[in-house]
Amino acid sequence: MSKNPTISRAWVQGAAGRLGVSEATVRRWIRSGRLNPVCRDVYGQVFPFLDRELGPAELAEVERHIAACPGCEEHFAFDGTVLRFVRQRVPRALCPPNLQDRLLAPFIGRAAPEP
Amino acid sequence: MSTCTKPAPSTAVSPASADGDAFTAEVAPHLHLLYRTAMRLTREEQAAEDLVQDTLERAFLNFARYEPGTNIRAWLLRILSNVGISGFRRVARRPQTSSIEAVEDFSMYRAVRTEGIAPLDVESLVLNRIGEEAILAAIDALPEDFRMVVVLGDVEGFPYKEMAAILEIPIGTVTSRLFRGRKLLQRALWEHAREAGILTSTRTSRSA
Repeated sequence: MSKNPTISRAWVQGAAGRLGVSEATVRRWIRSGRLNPVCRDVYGQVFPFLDRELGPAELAEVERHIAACPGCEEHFAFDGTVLRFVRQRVPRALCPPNLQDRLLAPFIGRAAPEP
Repeated sequence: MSTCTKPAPSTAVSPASADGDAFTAEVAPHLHLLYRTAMRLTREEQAAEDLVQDTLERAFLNFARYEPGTNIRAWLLRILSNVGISGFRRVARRPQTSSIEAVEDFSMYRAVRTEGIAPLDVESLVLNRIGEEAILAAIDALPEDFRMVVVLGDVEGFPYKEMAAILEIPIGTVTSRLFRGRKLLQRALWEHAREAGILTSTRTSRSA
């Protein structure tokens, strides 16, 4: 039984599934303060938020929470920094010209396939 | 039957009748995208070349099904992903290097604070000292399902809806794979920083 009656079994099950841990672990994390169910729910939206993939209602909910919760605000900003770093700095190789020629050669002058 | 008539010859060049030259003109601009994605999926040059070649062959044979004006990048990547699954994955599956179970046991945010670094200094103190090749190595170490969404989302910049169409999975699955994939990527980058001595030098420069 949960010590905190406001946290439903369904929430714990959902969190356990999302986090890939057991329900007992989720309950232990809540008791120790490592997991705050409200912050945790909002944090589940961190990447859709950073990717601008949230609908207006979800976006407003996240913005309201991070405006009032410095820990979440910092956590979101941190993940945004790492995400921007990866996106800006990851090398994007080009297909070498001789490989392009090799890849396209089988199709040059070839008749359309039979339908 | 004598009432049977020949269909009128079509004057417009539809994809159904596109020959190799028309096909080549259509796909040539997207070879970089296909090659890059194949490299991340296979992690070997020869395997990547084979995968792109097989993808092009299947795309050519199915070009009649491509609707002109729709997203050809997503269409080609969907074929590449399918060819990759049916061919490459079965024969060349490697042991996965990361435990998915443990993904939530690691938080880079928490690790950075434990290290005594202000989270918003992570860029100047840690990230900027990580080499670009190390980012690729970290992506390549991800389990395949997570690697694909990270590659499509963060290397190629596809929106969730297009990733879902390419991988033929629900948007909710894209979202959850991105969450775990990026968390695993953070862990790999952090481990790299530790192993490469970046954290040690950070500690020294901060205490100096």
